[in-house]
Amino acid sequence: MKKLRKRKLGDWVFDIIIYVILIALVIVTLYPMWYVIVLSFSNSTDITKYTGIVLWPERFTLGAYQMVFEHPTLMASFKNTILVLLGSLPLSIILTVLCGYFMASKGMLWKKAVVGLIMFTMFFSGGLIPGFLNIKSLGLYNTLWALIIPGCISVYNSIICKTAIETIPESLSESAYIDGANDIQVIFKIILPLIKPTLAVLTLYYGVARWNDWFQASIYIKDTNLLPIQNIIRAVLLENDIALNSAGVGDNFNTYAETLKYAAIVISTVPILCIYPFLQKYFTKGVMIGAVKG
Amino acid sequence: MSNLVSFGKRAGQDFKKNKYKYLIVLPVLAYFLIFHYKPMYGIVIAFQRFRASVGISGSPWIGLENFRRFFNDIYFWRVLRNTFTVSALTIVFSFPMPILLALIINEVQVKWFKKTVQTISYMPHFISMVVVCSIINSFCQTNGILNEMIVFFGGERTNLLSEKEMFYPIYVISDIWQTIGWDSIIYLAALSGIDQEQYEAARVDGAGRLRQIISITLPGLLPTISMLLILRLGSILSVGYEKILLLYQPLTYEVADVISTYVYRKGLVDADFSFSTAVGLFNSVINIVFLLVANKVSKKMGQSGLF
Amino acid sequence: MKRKRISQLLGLVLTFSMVFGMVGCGDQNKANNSEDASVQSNADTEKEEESEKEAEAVSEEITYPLDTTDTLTIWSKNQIKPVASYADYTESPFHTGLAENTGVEVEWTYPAEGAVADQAYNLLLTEDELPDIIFTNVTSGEAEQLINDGVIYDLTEYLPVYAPDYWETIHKDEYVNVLQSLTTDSGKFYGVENFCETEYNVTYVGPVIRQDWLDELGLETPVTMEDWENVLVAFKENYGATLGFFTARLNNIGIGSGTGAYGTFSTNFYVDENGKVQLAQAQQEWKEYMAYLHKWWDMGLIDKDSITMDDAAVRTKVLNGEIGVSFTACSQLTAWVGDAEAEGTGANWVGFDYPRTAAGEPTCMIQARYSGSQGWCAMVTTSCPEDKLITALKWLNYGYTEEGLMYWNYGTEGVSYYLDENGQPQWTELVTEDPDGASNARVKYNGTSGTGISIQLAHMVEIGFAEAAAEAVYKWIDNTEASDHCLPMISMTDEESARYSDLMTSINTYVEETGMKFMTGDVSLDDFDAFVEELNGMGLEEALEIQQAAYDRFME
Repeated sequence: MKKLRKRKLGDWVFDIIIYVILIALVIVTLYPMWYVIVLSFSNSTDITKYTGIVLWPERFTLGAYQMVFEHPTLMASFKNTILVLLGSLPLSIILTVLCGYFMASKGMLWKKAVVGLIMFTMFFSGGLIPGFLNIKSLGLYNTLWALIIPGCISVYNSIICKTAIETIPESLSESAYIDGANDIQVIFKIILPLIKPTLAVLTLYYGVARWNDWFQASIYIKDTNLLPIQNIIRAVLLENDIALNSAGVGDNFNTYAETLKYAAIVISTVPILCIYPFLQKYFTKGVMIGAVKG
Repeated sequence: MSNLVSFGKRAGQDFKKNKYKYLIVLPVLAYFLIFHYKPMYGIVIAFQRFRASVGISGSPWIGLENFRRFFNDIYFWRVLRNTFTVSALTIVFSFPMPILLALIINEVQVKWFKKTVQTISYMPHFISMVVVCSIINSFCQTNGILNEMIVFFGGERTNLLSEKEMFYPIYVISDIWQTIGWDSIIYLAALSGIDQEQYEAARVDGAGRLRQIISITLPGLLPTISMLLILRLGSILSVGYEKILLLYQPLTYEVADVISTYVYRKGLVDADFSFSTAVGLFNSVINIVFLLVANKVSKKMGQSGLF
Repeated sequence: MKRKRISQLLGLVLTFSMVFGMVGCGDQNKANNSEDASVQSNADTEKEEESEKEAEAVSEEITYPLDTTDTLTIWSKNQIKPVASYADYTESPFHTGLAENTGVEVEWTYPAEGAVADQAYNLLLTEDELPDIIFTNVTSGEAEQLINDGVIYDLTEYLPVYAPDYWETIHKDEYVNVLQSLTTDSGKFYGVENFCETEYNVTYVGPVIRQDWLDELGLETPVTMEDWENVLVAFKENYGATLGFFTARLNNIGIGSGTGAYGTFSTNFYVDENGKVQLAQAQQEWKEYMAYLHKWWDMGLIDKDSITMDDAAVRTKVLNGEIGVSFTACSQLTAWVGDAEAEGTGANWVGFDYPRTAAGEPTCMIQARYSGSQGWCAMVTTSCPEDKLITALKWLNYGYTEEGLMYWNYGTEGVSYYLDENGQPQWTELVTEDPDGASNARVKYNGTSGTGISIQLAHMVEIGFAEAAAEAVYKWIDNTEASDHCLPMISMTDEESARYSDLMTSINTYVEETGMKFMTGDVSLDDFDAFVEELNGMGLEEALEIQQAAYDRFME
């Protein structure tokens, strides 16, 4: 509040504009989200009556949630997802930093070749079946390792990391070399503390990608009790949709069918939303380069 | 011969000098070799009529037939044009939005408000495409919320999704809604690395807030922006099929049908690995060309580029 | 093709709906649904005698439960799956009961939860060790390929001996048209096919109308297109209601019969009087049909949201009284009836006949030919040793025996069903009062709610619908005399089908696109000739030739 000293008129106008824009953004973002939440607490018959602006469920019910939670393997799948996250996040972050550091370094004879080799995989892949056979031959098939190791380095994220490392003045690492440090020490002592915000972003990117992924598991996992949460959620959605649209056989209709998908979204979103506040503190400005050095 | 010798010498020196760097990249390289290069032989199915039951070794070779099928299709140019259009529109309109948002959020002084806005703005990232599209669909119906607004402003009720002219606006605006918060995170991280002393100095010089943004904040973001833009251009043909498939219908095919939906409609995404691999190869080549050109331009303009 | 297209419109997540996407059909074979399928066909055709002779020669009496220690593994592409509330098949009453009744322990596997089924199938095929039985949807061309690749057994010699009840079933009179489609081009039997009892099982879409409004206005049920128009105008004036539909429901058949057209927005082939295969959309009748739709569109008689509405959206409008006439499926109709009761709207939805060119004329309706088989079949892989093959076939045979047929359809008597005073099976309260809902409950006890390794009985399907929906099906089946124009399940060679699907992707897109534009007026019907010319430019003639060749082979 000390900063209030003397504010110019321009600053006031500037602030007002900013707040108006942000509040508008919040409303526009929130309404559809709210819509999802309202639908998840409704029953399907009521949904059919909603038109125009919907602010509150017609008849509040937890029926859809109950149906999702009654899925026999939902809880096991939560556990699997957590295990995959615990296993893959440290691995991903470490390898990505290593990759980013190499890409940001200069003066190696083989740098171009190695970076080219890595970048190439952004565009070309062997495809589904060779990938599947590869995982099988490595003995990873139908284990959680198949969800942890493949995909643990994203080239895209490595480039993000590389860009962050490049913003660190070279003089810092050079003085470390003169003090007799090697590259590994430089990474841990100098680089890592300085790219904390980027590490937070990478954690978020990897974490959310793993959290949302169902495809890898649908190929590499056979046992239902090893599947991650998204596969179960997806199965709930799919079954529900078949039920709604199958024709010919039976009415296949239940009260929560339509609301199920909204409840499933809420359930699969809330836990990952909780991570953000913990990472948020790394995004506050003021990480001063000088401060870390001393 | 002497070239070879001197090369060997250089290689030896290089290895000596950079051994830790090579050591560091070794696990990374091992990962890519095992999980990406080992199965890379699968690309050859683009030149086969692949059958899973006999595998790659048993499937018949058909040369460039899959490519010919793609290029000779009457809709080839249409889907190519639409893919470029959709991509270009998202680059022009969706790409800058997270930057703007990050800049604005950065100016907010009230902490709780700042955190709340951030958290809310990135929530849409988690809503699956199916649900996003069913929301869009219900908002666009003749009695949906958008039409209520149109009527309020004296317009005429139409089903917005069956209007050819409305497809791109709907696609792009919903894309902004989905991505603005999430994509701003990386810019916020980059902003936190900008030296605060610069702002102090600017204030002493009497620079206004807008002035500070233009001369300090934006340049600080430039490396991140140029990197992401290059990467975005490197996926110019990779417009996913999920969203379009859920939003388009025959009346809007003309503008909405893209390569991925075309492949999907061909009924071949799951069954005909060969054709989709061939199309994928084509996409990759175009994407790489764009990436290389963008990288070059970026370097010319004084940015560091990707490599 | 049809199945594919529907699922595309329904979106990604509905890929599985292909299973049910078989379009219904009426034909000359009007079996009474009350006829129990276990009643032996009384006509002994030559074919049957032949096969019986063959079977008698070697077939042994099969009694269940079998006396065997063999266990089987089966991979099923998401059919015959335990309901989601069970962790796996060992908890499912149907699956455990089946093991008990047949005396064979079976290990059931499916694509992983949430996986893309077709992809899972392709990955499965890459494995060295396959499950003994694979239950999936294949074309005869694919099956031939699998036999040649040594992946599955050619069952031609085994079936009459070890699956005699199945063999008898497929040689019954009512399936005589189908028999050919159960073999590959070279005449090999490749699996045990899923069957439907009558056309009732596969007929599930048709026109529906608010009878209460008709009564209030003193109007007759519309017959011709003019009648339709009058009713639509009256509904619009009096109730502000329109003709509204989900295009995927209308696409294949629709109400084109009102002008003698054989399809709506999806390409539809039919056989004309001269035995020539034709595309419905290239005919004058279709132009007239489109002219009607365009006129109604302009008059505001068709709901403007119809192009983007799905079942759920239609249901909303139905409940709100914004739709007076529609074109929908039994399952939806059942839901609408339930809504009307729950909300007390007083709406009385009934199914009615497809429109005709003139009163007294046949409806000229053409639905997909009722074929008995739905294209799903259980194939025995070569990973199953030859001695176990016998157990596998006997096990597969169970669903076609008198006892097995009842079990696959209704479960266990006294548990999930009872016989009413007419000797008809009815669900017990265990099913009807199940907290998971009756439709889920049925799947707990039977194996033919989707496709199973048995015959899906019409009565089983019928007792799952609301009364209005069950009756509607009879309306839709009745008076559909144009089945001769229906293309049978023809099979193409590998090359033909590759070329054909290549040509048809563009043609399908173009027809769908332009059809809708004709309706909305984005393209004038004056350009109809140019439209046909464009189709020819896209290779329509070649596609027709391929169809014709396959059709001619079939007719031989």
